[in-house]
Formats: sequence, structure tokens, C-alpha cells
Amino acid sequence: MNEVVVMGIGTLRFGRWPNKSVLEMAEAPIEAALKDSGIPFKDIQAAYIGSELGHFPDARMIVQNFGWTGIPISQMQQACASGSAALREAFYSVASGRYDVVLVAGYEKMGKGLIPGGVPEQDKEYHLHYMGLDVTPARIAMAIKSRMLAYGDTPEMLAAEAAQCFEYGPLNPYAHNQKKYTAADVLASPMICSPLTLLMSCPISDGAAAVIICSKKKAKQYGASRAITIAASVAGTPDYNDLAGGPGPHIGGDFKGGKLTRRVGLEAYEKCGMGPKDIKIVQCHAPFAGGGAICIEALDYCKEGEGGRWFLEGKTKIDGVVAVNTDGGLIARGHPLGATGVAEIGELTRQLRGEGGALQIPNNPKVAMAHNTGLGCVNIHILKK
Amino acid sequence: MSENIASAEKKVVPLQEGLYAADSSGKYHLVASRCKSCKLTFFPKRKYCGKCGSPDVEVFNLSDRGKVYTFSQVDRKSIYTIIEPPYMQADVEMPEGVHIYTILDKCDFKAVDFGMEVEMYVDKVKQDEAGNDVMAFKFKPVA
Repeated sequence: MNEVVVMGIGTLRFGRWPNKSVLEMAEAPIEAALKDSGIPFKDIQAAYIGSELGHFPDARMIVQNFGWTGIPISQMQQACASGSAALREAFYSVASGRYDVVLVAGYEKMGKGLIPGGVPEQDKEYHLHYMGLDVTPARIAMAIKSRMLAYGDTPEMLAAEAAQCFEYGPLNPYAHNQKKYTAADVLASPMICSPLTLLMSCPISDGAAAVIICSKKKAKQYGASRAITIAASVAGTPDYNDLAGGPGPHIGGDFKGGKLTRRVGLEAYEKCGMGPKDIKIVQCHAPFAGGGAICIEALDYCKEGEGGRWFLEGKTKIDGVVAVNTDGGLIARGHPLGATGVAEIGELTRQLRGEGGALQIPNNPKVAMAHNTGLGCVNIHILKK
Repeated sequence: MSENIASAEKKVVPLQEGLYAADSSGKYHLVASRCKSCKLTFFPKRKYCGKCGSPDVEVFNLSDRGKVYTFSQVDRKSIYTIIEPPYMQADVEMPEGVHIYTILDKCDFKAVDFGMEVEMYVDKVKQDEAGNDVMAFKFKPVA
């Protein structure tokens, strides 16, 4: 396989953009990524665009805004992991030698309220939808509740994880939430699904992000001094071991404690020959507090049941054992589904380049990991400089 | 009886077909499938085994009682939901090994706990446009 590098990154600040079209939302991050890469749009050979709630003209409008160059344009839909799914397919299209220069973007314009996870008239899962069993935070809440019984996790641990997000969000110019909340604020906010409160949950954000990737040999042509290598790209869907309960079309995933993340993470470690000892910064998919605790256990940073305590003790902070969600994570940065996985790559690229600003982790990090899940499916990318 | 009169009669219909069925005595049970090859049980019933993909599965009724594995009180409403929050959602572990996501009703929310013994029942959840009673399964604490 050819070595693949990240050449350029761009992010539109996550937030609410009711007056911007999806084309306008994606324009600024793609412009920024092209400029950052030093690669002109006419050299882009293919585009992979991630979005869950988008519509069929979106990807073409977004890419052809820069020129009708006749390249293949693919739209990837994998719920909250649509952006990392786009990156994954783009990565393999370059690694396999099919293309040298590829554009990846993710975007989302969110509606209001909870995401129902399906349409009753299409999937015919009437029981799931009408009986209120399609509430995603409730599934996570039940998983957290069982951790409370099994490991003694506490609301204070969940609050510490959320408060860490709110500590970093105001330092990230791309974050939706720029206000600092304490653990006490998090605990005092209204309950959504016990034990999860409003401030333990990601806000509803619009947003877009872009990345330009390139084969290493072609990158030299553009001046690749700041190029970051994608050392592993691994994906997985739940297997029967991950089945959580029925009825529903999307049963299974990491709700039972991160088994799928563990499996995909292990494969990623094997692929790049590195592991938790080498990777000191992780962007992990935690739309609700407790998700980070499950992730650092499943990714083998600590033993099962220790994750909550790690957040409480600050081992996951910028100067901790492993820096988790330095950009505020989904809870403070925001979670526009398709944009999330691509924005993770932006933050990690900044960190590896030493351009992390106030959020820069110390000691010149060499390797970083992006973990993104969607409807129980997991994509993991490992970056190195 | 003419067809017109028959169609005007109020019927009892399930919210979703195939999740539960009545036995010869009229008692309702959840319907699962078990792979004849690897013996794994799934709810709802599957055409193909979720582990080995075999089509050789047998359909059978689950036990009526299980234990609360985990639970959460839901205070927000999803757009299609026809029940009003707050409601109690639970993951019930059945003796056959499968887990059921369900509404836990007829209970004091504060008294719900891990391991609580609960039983399946079928309840009216709405009336459709034809005036039929629409039924769905729920669980409740064992009296």
C-alpha cells in the first residue's frame, strides 16, 4: 500500500448556522484545507463527502462549487461516523494507488431535538419508535447505569468528564460551546435520561470540516514538510457478541462496554505497530459523558472500570497520561454528525504539527488517534508525523 | 353478518407484527428464534441466525418473566414517540439469555432497581383511525 498523508485541514466553527446553505457551510473549510495543503482544486482527483442527514445533490454542489472538473464524488452515510467513513474510503483510494490527491469533507445541518434513528414508515420498526425506545441518550444512560453497578462509577465521574470538555471548549475557536461550566454546573443541569444531565450531552450543532489527503510520493511535489501520515485506518461493525437488546433495527454496538472499540482498536494498533504507550493524544467519540471512560478502557489505556476515575483524577487532561478530546470533544466542541470525524483529524493534525495553541499537549507528540462511532459502527485512524 | 358490519367492528391490533403472539389459551408471549445449529437465541425472531447465518432456526415463545439488567428514566421525547415522558426504559435479561429493551410501566420509578423481577404484558397504547385498539408489549414489576 502507498503511504498516505494529510496535507491540509479546515474547519467551520461548529454552532448554529440557520442562514447558511450546506454549500456555504462546506466552502470555508474546503478553502482553508486547499490553502493549507498548497494543492490547487484542479489537482483533486476524487472527493468523499460524509453526512448522515444530507440529500443527494449536496455532495455534488459542495464539490462543484470549486469547479466542474468531472471527478468522481461519493457521499458517505454512517450516522455519527459519516465523516470518518468518508476519510476511510478516501484513504484506501489513495493507499491502493487509484488516486494521488483526494478531498474529504464532512458536514451536517441538524434539526431540532433528539435524532430518532430511523423513519417508522420506512423501517417499519413501529414498536421502537412509538414506544420511545429510539432515544439514543437513553441507551447510553442504561450502559452507564450498569457501569455504576459493576464498577462503582458515580455522577461525579461523569461530571468530571463533561467539565473537562467545557474547560477546553472555550480555548478552541472552532468549538460550539465557548462557555466554561464546572462539574457542579454539570450535575445541577436538568436530567435528560438518568443519570445523564443536559450538560453531560452534546449540543445540537451545525458544522463542516475538510481534509486534503495525498500519496506520500506525490506530496513531495507540493512541499510536504508539514505532512502527517495516516498510519492506520480500521473499521468495524457490531457482531453478535455486541448485541445489546431488541427490538430495533440498530441494536448492538458499544452500548455494553466498548467491546467493538476494543476489537477495532487492537487491529489499528497491530496495523501500525504502535499502541497506547506511543499514543499520548486521543480524540474519542463521546457524545455523552461516560463515553470517554468506556473508550480509554477499550483502547487499553486503563483497566476496565478505571476510566471514570481517570477523568476524575485528571489523567485524561492535556498534561495527563493521555490527552483526551483536547478540542472540547463532542460535548463542548459540538457534534454535527458528518463533520465530527473530519474535525477530529483537524485537531490531531494541529497537535502533531505543534499548532495546537492554548490546547497544545506538551512534549512534542508524534502519534495521535481518532475514534469515531456511528450507530454502533467504529472507525479508528492513527496519525503520525 | 355482512362484510360491512364486520369491518366496522372494533378490533385489537398489534403496534408491530411478529414481536408477540397469543397461545391457545389467549395468553401473550414474546416470540424469539433459536438457531438449531449454534443454539443462539435472538429477539426479535430472525430469518437467519445472527451468529452463523443459518436459516435453520426455530421460533418459540420466551419466558414471561425476566430481571432488570439496567434502566434509565427518560425525560425527553423523540419525535415519533406516542407515550409521554417521564417514562422508565429498561433492559430486561430473560432466562433464555436475550436482552429486551422495553418500557417498564406500572411501577414506582424510585423503586426500580437492578435485578428486579419483571413480567411481560400487552397493553393498549393508542387507538387507530379505524377505532381499533393498538396494543404493544411492556414489562411491569411482578406483583
